Amino acid sequence: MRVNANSSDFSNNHRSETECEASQNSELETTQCENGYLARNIEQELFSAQTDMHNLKSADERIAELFELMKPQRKVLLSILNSCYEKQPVHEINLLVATVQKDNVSVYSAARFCLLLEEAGALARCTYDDDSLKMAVASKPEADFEDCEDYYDVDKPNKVLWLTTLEGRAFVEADNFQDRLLALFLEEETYLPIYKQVLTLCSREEGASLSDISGAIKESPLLKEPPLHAAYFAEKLEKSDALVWKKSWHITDTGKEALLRLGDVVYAQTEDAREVVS
Amino acid sequence: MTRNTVTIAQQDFDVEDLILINEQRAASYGFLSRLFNSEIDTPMFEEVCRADYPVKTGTADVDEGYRLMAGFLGSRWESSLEELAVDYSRVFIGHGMTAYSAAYPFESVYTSEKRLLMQGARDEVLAIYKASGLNKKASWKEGEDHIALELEFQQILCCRIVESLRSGSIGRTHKLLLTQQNFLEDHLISWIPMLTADMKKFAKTDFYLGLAFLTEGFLNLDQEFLAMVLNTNLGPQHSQLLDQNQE
Repeated sequence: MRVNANSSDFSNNHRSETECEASQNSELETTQCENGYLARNIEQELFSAQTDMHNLKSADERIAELFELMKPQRKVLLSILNSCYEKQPVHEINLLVATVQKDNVSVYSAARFCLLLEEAGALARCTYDDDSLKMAVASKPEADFEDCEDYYDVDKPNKVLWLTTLEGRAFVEADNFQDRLLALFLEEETYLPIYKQVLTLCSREEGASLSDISGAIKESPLLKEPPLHAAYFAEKLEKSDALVWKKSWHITDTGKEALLRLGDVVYAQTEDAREVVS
Repeated sequence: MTRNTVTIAQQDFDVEDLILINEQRAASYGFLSRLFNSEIDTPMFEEVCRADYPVKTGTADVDEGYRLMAGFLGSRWESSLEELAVDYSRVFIGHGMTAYSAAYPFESVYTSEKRLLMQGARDEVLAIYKASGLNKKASWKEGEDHIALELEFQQILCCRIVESLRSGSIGRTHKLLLTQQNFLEDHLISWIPMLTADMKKFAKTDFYLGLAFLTEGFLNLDQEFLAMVLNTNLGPQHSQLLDQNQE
């Protein structure tokens, strides 16, 4: 390997033994558990089993698990998968994520989302020419030697593009906002009047803030026991794609359809709600 | 033109060839040491992208290591450095909840019964470093039995071998080679295969997966080299006799 060695962590001066504090964790482990070794052996086997189980999961299972664990980021993840039905360069994905997250800043970068999707098997890297990345083997003939020595060519990297996998597409196509919203309404039938109130408020041109929603629903007898707050309903509707945050809560097309479906539901009776509706 | 030869362990070697080989060994040990030391930063990343990765070296693990590392670098993208930093943490630091959460790069972890740090192995290597006139720098905050330091120790000895060969001090060369062989067998080969097995379990990028293969392959190769140069079928008394004659 023709790589220059970096700076040394050794000093050449002969000096007395430097301080090396014993690891506090080591001391703690020794005193806490007499059967530490046996316990850690079992721990090791359990951890290995968990790792192996994850690795054995199918792409479909891993994708479903990812979306389950990252519910708040569902919209971004689906946007990426939707856009990558055709090969997309990295900068396009960066723009897409920036747009989707414009009003909802996240610690996750576009690259991180793509890597998570890749790990789950929903996204794959490819090049313009191939659907998978291939590595070139370049022959570098040396003038001083008779034989050519083959080297991998890493000087000019392949342009990386992202492409949604078959499993990723299957997940996108199976994902149905309507079904999720219907399931939500069936599960929380008791609160349908509240959901209708919230959707109605958010259908205004300026949308509705959380305090607007809170003011409209807080006196409802439905929210006394158990006590629930505006944020609960807003988030439930957002995860079902009925609401979207754009500096305030706004209704989406899915939400508008749901509102039509809730036409027969009676409002929770408060003075504020009647004012808003009119 | 007559080339200079040197006799080590009753075998003749061309001095220039031996110097070149040990310079390459030093570079290899240094390269591996750096990769284990810390996350790859931008200058190091540029360096590894400029390095050569041969397709066929004759050693299967080394070939596989190069293939994987070159594959990763050959498909690098804007966030490759971030990917590598995340993978370094995943492989060597882990989430710290159990003693089996990562491939902890300390000899003590793999050679102590309870997988603890700062155990007997650390004390032993510290004594070896001091016997060679070396000690860790104040900036190094980890134990002395970290793989980066152990590999760097071998790198330093390789450089000293080159100096000895150039100055014609064959006895010193022989002693240094013996030190390297003992250190390799007692403090590298004894635990690094377990480390690399764990690395293969935790690494998500082909780069660190490749590093595991490359490290294994290189250390095995170096073990063969040292056995060949030192002709270790002969007993230690032969080596001592040679020292008396050569000094």
